[in-house]
Amino acid sequence: MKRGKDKAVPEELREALPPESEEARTWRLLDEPEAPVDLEEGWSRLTAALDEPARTRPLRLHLMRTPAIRRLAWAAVVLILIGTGTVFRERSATFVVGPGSVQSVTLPDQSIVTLNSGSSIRYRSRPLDGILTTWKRTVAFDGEGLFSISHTGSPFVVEGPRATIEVLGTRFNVRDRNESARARITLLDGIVRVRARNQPETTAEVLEEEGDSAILVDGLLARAESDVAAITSWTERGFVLVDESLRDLFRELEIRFDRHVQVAGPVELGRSINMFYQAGATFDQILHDACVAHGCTYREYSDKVIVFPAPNDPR
Amino acid sequence: LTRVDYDDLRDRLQTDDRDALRMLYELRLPSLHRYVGRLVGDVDLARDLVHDAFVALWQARSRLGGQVDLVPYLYRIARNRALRHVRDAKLHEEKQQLFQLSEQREAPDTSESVDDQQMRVRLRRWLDELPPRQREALVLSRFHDLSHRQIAAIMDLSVRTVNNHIVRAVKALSSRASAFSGA
Repeated sequence: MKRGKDKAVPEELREALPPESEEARTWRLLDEPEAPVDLEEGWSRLTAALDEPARTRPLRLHLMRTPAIRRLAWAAVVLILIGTGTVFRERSATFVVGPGSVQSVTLPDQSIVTLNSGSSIRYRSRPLDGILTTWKRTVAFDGEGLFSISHTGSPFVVEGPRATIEVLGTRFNVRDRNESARARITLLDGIVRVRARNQPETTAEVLEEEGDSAILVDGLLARAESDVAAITSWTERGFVLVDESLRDLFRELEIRFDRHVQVAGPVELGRSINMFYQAGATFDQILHDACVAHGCTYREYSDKVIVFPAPNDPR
Repeated sequence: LTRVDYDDLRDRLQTDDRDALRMLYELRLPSLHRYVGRLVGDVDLARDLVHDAFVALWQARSRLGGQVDLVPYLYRIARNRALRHVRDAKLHEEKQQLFQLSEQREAPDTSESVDDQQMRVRLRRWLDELPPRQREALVLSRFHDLSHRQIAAIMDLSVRTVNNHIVRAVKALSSRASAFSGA
């Protein structure tokens, strides 16, 4: 439907634009094409934002294109909002780490979480019974984090976009970014139980040996062995991707280096990729290597990098 | 078609009524998105700015009072954000992308003459070439069901100036149309 098609001249303009005039015809013929909007998607995003205690919003690519000063503010000012609900004796805390930085935070229960770029965590602890003897600690999580959970006797649950992880005092790495297709949880120490979100406990995989990983793709849970040093090297500013797609690589580059990567033309984004860099690898180095291996080329602009298929790529 | 009682929505918002917000959202998101898209020239960015405007409205709900005209208020929040963004972007000499409204692929309207159909297409282009404030006033009046008083509140102008902008814009478009038809 065209916008306001054939709408009559409003009362206020009748004098200046009389009904039979050429102006009135112009008025009638003016229309405005649709701009597509997804009401449902927008509304669920909006309600999520309304529930968020801190003013955060989902990381979107063009955030990286906002002027440098706001970007700086975003990255440097790590939004910290701590609400201590004294009335209900609940405790909560929210931490957001912007693009380009890595931060360690201490939760109210003294658990320590190191957060990779573009990650957010919201902690709450609530009594499970009326006499406040058993508490449940829950964190809503998105991104990548290395968790060291303090042993308090109360259960600790991590809810990622895809995975639910139940913990007693232990150390583990969670990589569960909302925008990426796969989640990987890797155990360092202790025991954790992992299941797909909204799945019953009976479906859970138990990780009990160092290097045990649970991988979630499309709600399906699988086990794998991981090199713990590689998986956690991001905390030392290394750059590692295990079995992820080219799409995930570009996204990770954006988040870690606070750059904007655009893809032009038929680059096979679903292609699987493994990368391992010690600390100090640069954006250019990583992108260059990825393109050599996967048949792409790229050009740098002041505000972004555009990736193209390599001209002589036989694929 | 029943007339929406925006004053009622405003009052309900102040009692933390999310259904009222949802209703306002459904009623106004598409048009607000088009409007902000025109201002910033980027569909995705417009989506985020409008999202922020609704969040800001929700956060300000307890301060709305009983007099505020809700729709212009919401437009104004969105507009301020959009203009701030455009200003910042200009400071950094960011290149503006053209806002691509998707063209309809609907069947041609057979009740309408070919002349009229062609003129619609031309008018769309000429509209983009009007001075920005004239265009904005005309767009708000023509496509957003807003009175001159409401447009004045959104654009921070007097009602008389809004009227002048709109009349001038329509006359400019008409004279181009006449010149075209006469040629």
